[in-house]
Amino acid sequence: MSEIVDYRRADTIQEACTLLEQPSTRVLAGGTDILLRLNRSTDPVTLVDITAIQEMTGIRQEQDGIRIGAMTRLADMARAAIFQQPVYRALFQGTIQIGSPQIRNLASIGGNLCNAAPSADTAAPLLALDAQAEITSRKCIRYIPLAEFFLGPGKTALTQGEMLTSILIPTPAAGSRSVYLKHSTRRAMDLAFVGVAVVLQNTAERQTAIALSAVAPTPIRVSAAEQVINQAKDVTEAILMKAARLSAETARPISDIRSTAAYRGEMINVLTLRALRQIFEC
Amino acid sequence: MMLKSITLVVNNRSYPVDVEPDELLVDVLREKLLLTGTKKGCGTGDCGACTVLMDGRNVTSCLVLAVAAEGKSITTIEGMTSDGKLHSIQQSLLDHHAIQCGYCTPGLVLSTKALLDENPDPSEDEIRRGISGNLCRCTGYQKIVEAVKAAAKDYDGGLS
Repeated sequence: MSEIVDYRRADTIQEACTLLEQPSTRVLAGGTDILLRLNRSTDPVTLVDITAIQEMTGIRQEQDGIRIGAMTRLADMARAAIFQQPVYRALFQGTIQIGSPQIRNLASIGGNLCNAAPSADTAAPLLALDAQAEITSRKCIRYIPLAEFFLGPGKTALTQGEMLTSILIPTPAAGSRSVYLKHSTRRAMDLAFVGVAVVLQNTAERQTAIALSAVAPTPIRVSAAEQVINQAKDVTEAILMKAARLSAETARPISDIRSTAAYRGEMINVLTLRALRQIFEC
Repeated sequence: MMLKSITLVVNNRSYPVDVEPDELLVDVLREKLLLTGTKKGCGTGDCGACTVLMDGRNVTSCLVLAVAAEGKSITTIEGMTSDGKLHSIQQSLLDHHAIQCGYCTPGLVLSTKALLDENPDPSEDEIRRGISGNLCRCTGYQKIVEAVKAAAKDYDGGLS
């Protein structure tokens, strides 16, 4: 890894953003993805270590929702009492299914998102929870829906000098619930062939959110399938099957080392139906 | 490349050491501090052979830059014994024949310590999840799980 030419530890967001304005700088958070990726590149890079930035760590309940500091380790997300609530079950399930205990002790939620792997296990649950990304630069802070944060495999909306500082989840309706199902070869230490997150908001008007990972260039919401459920008079098995089929049709899976496109397509159908049955208890 | 002069705290001892910014903790432990009990297997965070404790938590030291480990308290397998006496987790692995080639054992011991320090009475499922980041290609895990179960009885943390 001779391409890491320097290492700087930032103590504040301001300091990190100032350093990141320089070309050839990259954020070092948990390091579990970037150190492997740098291994395969030859460009000289200066790493900006953000792990000591206190204001980017931890989970806080705020007036309109939950703020997750981007540097919060996945192991701490999994330990947080608030994510044991049924509405956040999908996010908890996504988090504990990433890597191993060793990886989760290092890796951060922000890193899982900024790595922008289509298979990121926290991305689908956060998309289904309507999460927003807080993006900070030396001069300003901007907020975008997480759906607009992912541009393609390994590509995000971040520009030079910007950093993902927090993830914001708007307060869900009381009594809401969610689930995340992941299909992979092994039960631990494996990436998803397919991941499905479903959130059902407990509101007067039916509000279902369905998000998929590992089946398109980015994690995606499948609004056509959501509409089928939200606009149905009654939620029947036939409706759920239609929504699952539409989810499979919306996805654009590829064939790769882990799975074929055709198999992924079938599995989206199966997993989405399973997730919907769990949520609607039928 | 700028050489960095840092101090690593390993097994409660301070080691001043000069490292390149791209040097991995596992390599510095083994090649500069000569603590070769920590093994390097895959080098990609998958096998867990390089597991050490950093501030009490198990991490794969092949995914940690040595410079980034400055200021942390690191425990390696060498820190698990005192006066030549094995830690109760090590003794239990030995008693249950849960070691064959031994390459995964140092990492496994440290993951088990991290698990039991947080959850002294784990279920079998929690044990299997707790050691899911430590691959063993010899024993098939059954004996390891039995050894961890036995180690959990009367577990007092031992050394820290």
